[in-house]
Amino acid sequence: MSKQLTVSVAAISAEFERRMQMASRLLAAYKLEVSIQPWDGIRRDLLLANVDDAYGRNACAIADRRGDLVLKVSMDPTQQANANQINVNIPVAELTRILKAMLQTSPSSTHTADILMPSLDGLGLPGVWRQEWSADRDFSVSHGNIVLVILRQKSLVVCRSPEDSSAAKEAFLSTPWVAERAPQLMPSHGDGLEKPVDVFLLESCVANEDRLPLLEGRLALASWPDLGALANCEDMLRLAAALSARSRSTQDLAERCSVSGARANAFCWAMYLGGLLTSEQQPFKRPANRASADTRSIVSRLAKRFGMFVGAET
Amino acid sequence: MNSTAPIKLFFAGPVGSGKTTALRCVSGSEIISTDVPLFEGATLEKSTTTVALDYSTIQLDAETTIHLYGIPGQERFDFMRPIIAEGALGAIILIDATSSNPSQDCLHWVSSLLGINEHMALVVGISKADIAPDFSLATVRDSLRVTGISIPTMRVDPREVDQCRQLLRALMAVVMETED
Repeated sequence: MSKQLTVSVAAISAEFERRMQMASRLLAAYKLEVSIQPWDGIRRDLLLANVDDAYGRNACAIADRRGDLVLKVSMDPTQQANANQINVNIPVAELTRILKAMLQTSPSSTHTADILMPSLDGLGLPGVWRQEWSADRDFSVSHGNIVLVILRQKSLVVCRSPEDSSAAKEAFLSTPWVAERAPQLMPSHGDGLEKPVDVFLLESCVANEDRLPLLEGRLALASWPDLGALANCEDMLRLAAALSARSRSTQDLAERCSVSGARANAFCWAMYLGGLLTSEQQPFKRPANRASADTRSIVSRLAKRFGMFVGAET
Repeated sequence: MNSTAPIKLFFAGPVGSGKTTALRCVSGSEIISTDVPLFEGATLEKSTTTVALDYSTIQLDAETTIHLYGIPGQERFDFMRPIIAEGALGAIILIDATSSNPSQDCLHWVSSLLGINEHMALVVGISKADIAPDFSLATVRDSLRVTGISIPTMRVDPREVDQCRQLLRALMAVVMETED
């Protein structure tokens, strides 16, 4: 079975990217299936960056801080190659050899766990949602008289009324939900209810938390959920903070945040459906411990003042 | 962090993003404001601008005061940022979704504050998203990912007390999440 790998590229020329494409095709002979994409800040199996460009140097700096695998490229043909970087004129065969050596032993490619997803067949709206969400365009879903329009780029869910929103939550795991890719505006769109996608998914998953299958594997957040409009959700804030810090299983997450396993699992389901979950062990650089014991006490009291209890260990 | 140093938080962001409004929502006391009338670009929603800084406090108890600041958004006041940011527990950056490039604004302010203190806790609140038809939260998230730092980002209405407090709660959650 081939190993699937992703190489991010930052600030490289079109000519060099063509060499990379040729090298990636040659790597298939070694059962390495490499896809190349622009660097987006997320940890991938390898970063290839132009060190003669500020953007490329910035990408290298971030990757170096995280301990990611980096191959530095100089686009200046007069620049001598050394042990840490290659030259733009490197032959494709030599480039292939270097990439093979790096990717076959890539620590990130061996340490990244997969999100072990249960089957989504027959799982009501989640099954339909996930398929449509990954298509990266607006869509609508309906169940009987309930209709939801999902505005993908705006990250909003639109329904006709608060009653429809409540009904959708109740029917979240029911079947059948039908998807339509060219959603028509609601007849009363102007009076409809708009809700952030993350809020809708969290409310729906929590309402059905006892019936959601367990998500296994180690999970982390690639981005924080949009929680501005979610009331009474201090546990969601703690869950988001914990899952942004490093990858955890749902059980670890529940213990860390002093919530039930079902609640932690529901949170992860909502993040998965909203495209915010990742299997990377540590998607972000971890800052140094900011708070002294005295400061933590003050922060804890300040948080309580605003209706939040932080620090399961305090 | 020195336990005897003042505990401070501040609001930052471009002009018109709602910093003064948000500060009023979370503040526990009267705000000392340095707003003056806008002579150019005034609207019904925004007729004043901050020309020095806003200041208020939250009194946790008789001995513990949290100092809140709102720094002006104009670049000519950027000299204030390191002064206010020095030793701050964290900052809430407010971004106006109706600006020509909210993602760029966001990245500019995040980079500016992290350049002063790379360990500062940050939260981003995006205002006026309901009246910005072209606004994309995904684009802002993608732009922030390149910083390599997890920054809570959420849409808020700075006029809503609970949504402003949500920003503060998110900041507290970030500060308290530390290595095991």
